[in-house]
Amino acid sequence: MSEMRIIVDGLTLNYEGLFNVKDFYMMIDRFFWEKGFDKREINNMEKVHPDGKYIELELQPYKKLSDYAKIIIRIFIRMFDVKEVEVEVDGKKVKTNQGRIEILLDGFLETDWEGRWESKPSFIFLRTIFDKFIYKTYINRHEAMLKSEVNQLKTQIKSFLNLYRYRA
Amino acid sequence: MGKASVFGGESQRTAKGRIDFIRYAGVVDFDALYKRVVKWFNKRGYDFYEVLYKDKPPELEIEWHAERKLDDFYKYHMEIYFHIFDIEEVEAIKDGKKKKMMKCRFWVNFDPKVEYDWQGRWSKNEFTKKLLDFYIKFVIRREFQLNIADPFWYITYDLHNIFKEQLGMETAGNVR
Repeated sequence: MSEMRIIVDGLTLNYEGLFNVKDFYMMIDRFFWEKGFDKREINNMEKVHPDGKYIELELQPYKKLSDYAKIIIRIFIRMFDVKEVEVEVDGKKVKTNQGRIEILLDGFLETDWEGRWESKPSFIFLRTIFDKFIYKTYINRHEAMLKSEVNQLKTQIKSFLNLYRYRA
Repeated sequence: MGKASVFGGESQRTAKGRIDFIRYAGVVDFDALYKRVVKWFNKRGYDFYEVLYKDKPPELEIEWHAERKLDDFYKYHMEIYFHIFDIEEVEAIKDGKKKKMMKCRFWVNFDPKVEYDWQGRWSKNEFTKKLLDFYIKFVIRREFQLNIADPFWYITYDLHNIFKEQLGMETAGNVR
């Protein structure tokens, strides 16, 4: 088992109103693509109800910083009562969605993701000493990078949703 | 010979033993999905096999297996497993025409794997097997990850996107 540390735990975002689900998903996908993350879509669920759709999405994109450290950002998105609506923007009728979104962001730092230092208890002990004392500067740097990426993502999501708040 | 799971191996499996899935509840045009996916595999030179078709109404279990030889050492394997519950045949209008569709709960998951030494040339004795393991794990590890496993990862997400488009999911789309 590799060593997994929780660096960002349970950052939440809630929004209710107009937004476009497709654009929202593509915005998140593009953000990770531009930042050099590898795509990982663990769960994508959609249920059609008479009141609207329920959409659940779990993404876990990751970026390998070296052959020892990897950062993972886990995003849980739940969308409730998603309906297609027509709004007027600048005199033109535009199709968009309306509903409620709940977003949960977590950030993890995984060290020894290749599992090279876990074959023997003595290796695990050496790995722990290495992480705590020798590699500490790099670990701190990776943690700072992860926090920065998660904050940038949160800001991007907020900007995207705020755009819709003022459009209609 | 050996197989390496592209989606991370044992440590990434969920409790149910399946990883990376799509779930949908609504009306599905299963015929169109089936044809589109088979066409996608055939166009890319995969050998397509339907390994399991268990029809026990109102449930349906299907397992597909597609493989493609990359060269004389590597082979791609794609395993797709469907489990469809509460199937009800309905008639719906699609593109202005009446069509028979399926109202159901749909669960599909993808398990891509890369097989190395598929011809078994290095599996003749224990020494050559150990040599092959060493070669894959230490000598060409980076090349294997970057040039063989990673492209297949993104091919799997292309297929993943086709399923989402065909099911009419809101989160269809792929930036790559």
